[in-house]
Amino acid sequence: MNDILKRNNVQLMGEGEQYMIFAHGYGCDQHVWSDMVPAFVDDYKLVLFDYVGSGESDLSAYDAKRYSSLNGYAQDLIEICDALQIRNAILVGHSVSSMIGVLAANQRPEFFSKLIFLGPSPCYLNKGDYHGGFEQADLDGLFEMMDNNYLGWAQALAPQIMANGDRPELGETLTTSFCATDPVIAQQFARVTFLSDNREDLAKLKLPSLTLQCSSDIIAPLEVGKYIHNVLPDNRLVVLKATGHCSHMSAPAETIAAIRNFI
Amino acid sequence: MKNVNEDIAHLLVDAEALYEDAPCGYCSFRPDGTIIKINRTLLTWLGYAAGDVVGQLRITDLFSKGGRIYYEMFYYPLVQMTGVVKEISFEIFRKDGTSFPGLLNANVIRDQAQQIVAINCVLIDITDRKKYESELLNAKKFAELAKDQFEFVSDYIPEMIWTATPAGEINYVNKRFADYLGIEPLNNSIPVLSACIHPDDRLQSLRGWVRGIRAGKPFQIQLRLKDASGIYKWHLLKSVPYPQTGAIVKWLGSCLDIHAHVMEVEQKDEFISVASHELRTPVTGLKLSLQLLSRMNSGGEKQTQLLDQASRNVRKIAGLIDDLLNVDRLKTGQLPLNRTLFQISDLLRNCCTVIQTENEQRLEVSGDTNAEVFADENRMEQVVVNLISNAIKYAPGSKKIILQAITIEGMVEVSVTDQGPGIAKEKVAHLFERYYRADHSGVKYSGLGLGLYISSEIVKKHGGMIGVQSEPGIGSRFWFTIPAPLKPDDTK
Repeated sequence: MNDILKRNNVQLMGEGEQYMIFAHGYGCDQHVWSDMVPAFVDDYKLVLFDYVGSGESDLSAYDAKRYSSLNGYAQDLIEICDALQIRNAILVGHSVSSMIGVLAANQRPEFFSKLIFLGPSPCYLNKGDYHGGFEQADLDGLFEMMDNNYLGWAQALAPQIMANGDRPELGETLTTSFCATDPVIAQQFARVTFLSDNREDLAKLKLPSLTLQCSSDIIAPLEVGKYIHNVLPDNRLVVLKATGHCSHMSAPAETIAAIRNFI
Repeated sequence: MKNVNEDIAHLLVDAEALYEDAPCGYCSFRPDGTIIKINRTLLTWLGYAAGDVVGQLRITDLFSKGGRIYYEMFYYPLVQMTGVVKEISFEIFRKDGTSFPGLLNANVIRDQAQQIVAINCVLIDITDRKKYESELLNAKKFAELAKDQFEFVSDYIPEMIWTATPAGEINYVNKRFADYLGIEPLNNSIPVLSACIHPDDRLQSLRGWVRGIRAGKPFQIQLRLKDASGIYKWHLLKSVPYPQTGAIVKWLGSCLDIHAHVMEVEQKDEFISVASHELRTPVTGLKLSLQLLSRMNSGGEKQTQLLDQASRNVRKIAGLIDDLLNVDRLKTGQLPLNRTLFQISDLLRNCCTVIQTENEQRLEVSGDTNAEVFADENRMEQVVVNLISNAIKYAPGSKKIILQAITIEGMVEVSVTDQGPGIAKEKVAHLFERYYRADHSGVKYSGLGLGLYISSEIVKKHGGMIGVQSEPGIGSRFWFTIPAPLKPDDTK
């Protein structure tokens, strides 16, 4: 049990009866929840964690095969719930964690009572009639940018210029600008995230859920929010005034109010 | 002058001009991305008028779609969490749809409630840097490819080879070598490898390794290595620095199985040790008998001639046995030196008179006639006589053989130069080895192949060096050095 909690850098807070789990999105770690924590810590038992490969998780636990699909990340969530013997928790998942939550809830519905999605998308690519918002070329542009930022200057060249990699601290300083994520892991996670299609898994979800949709979110457009709302039998869709993809950071008050209203 | 400076300073500190015409782009935007301020430089780069941008565009409008995702998923959360984000590369789009690579630095301005009011960013055009970067990346890929090719080829050759860093850390052993030692090719750290060295050779080998790496010149180490089945065999580890001139980038080396050769030499040593000791007593007896016979000689011409001949031959045999005994003593470290102070030129002249009587070649002594050495005179004579004998034997056409003594840098150097046929380059390296003879046919020149080995051991024991320069068709110059004694004043 301790191994899992350590592996995923699990932090527990609050004295409430019911568990409330916050699952960060791609490219970040549990620090993104700093504005959410004070609002719920008095009433719930909060669970914050980092997926393996993110934040201060145990990078050595990263297994390229296990994390080659979102199921691997769902296993992290399931193992944490198992380790803490969680039942009927509220899961707040940002971005890709919405679908990771769906996968976990489909496998082990007893863990959760309600799911809250912040900027969810079951599929980022446009496919047939489905409009995810992105063409393959757009995503290739993102991956290339990541390659440039991770493997261009920072990773591949700087250590060489500093001769023989004798100064690894240089590489460390540079990568702290990337949420302390290992570049190779980050790139695999990006591909797994953006190329996955979880529409069928989404359709199997029976639990009640809330979709918090930002206005003008390029990553999860309103159309996608509506799609999710239509597919799920018990989903509430709230369109926030907040813009962008990170309402929990850019508009915490509005986000908190919407969550409270739902739970 | 002062006024002019002030005028210039006034221009320099004009913050507005600095902002507008800085060599980088400045822009500020609200948390939702709406641009609220932008400098002239950036407007020029983008091809917009200020009115097109301020309050009209969001920062993400300057990015590609991939860039927008990146901004939303990485950049914005990071700015939120850390307040500062440095040097993230974005492709920046101009009004006309073309683009350039830019580096975005951002920091936030917060209000008293710690809420973010605006984000200031600095944009640098890195078009040139991108070119260098891609060249460097290509060069890196090329280098990695070359390394892969080297490792691929080297894994398929039957020789054992390795490479090491300039500091002497082994970073590659080929498959053949790893298989031989029974180790993983990637697990080639010094501790792993040194565990494969025979315990009796380990310390010496590691010392030789460190010394060789420090000296930065080609070196070799003879040592016993344990193969995968646990059997020790003699090997010769050779290393050369690369490149051969300039700063060392890596060490390249081979490892050669010389077990059979070492065993052969050991057997010869053993045989010689036994044989020379067994031969000495009867030959001494024979010598004494001949001396007695000479004294008892009644004076017949034929008898005298035969006795002289017999005595000469016995002396030769005794000399050969002495050589063999010398080898044995040298090997076991039992060669006491009886040092005295003497003039080296006296010794050279002495040697000439001893040898010249029997030969037609002219011996000449030159150089520093006053040079003195503190050495074992008999042993020195043995060395010089050996070098002269070799010159006479192997350079029969040489009219002149020059003996020279000079003093350089605290050493007295003695050389013997002939004008003979010279020695082939590949043989030079082996001349001072035990049992090596330049001519292997064994027909033209007799000998045990020990003279130069003994000479070199004697010289080394005196703290000197021995060597040869030879040019085919011109001649050879054998030389050795002996440390010059301290001046009498210094010794007092």
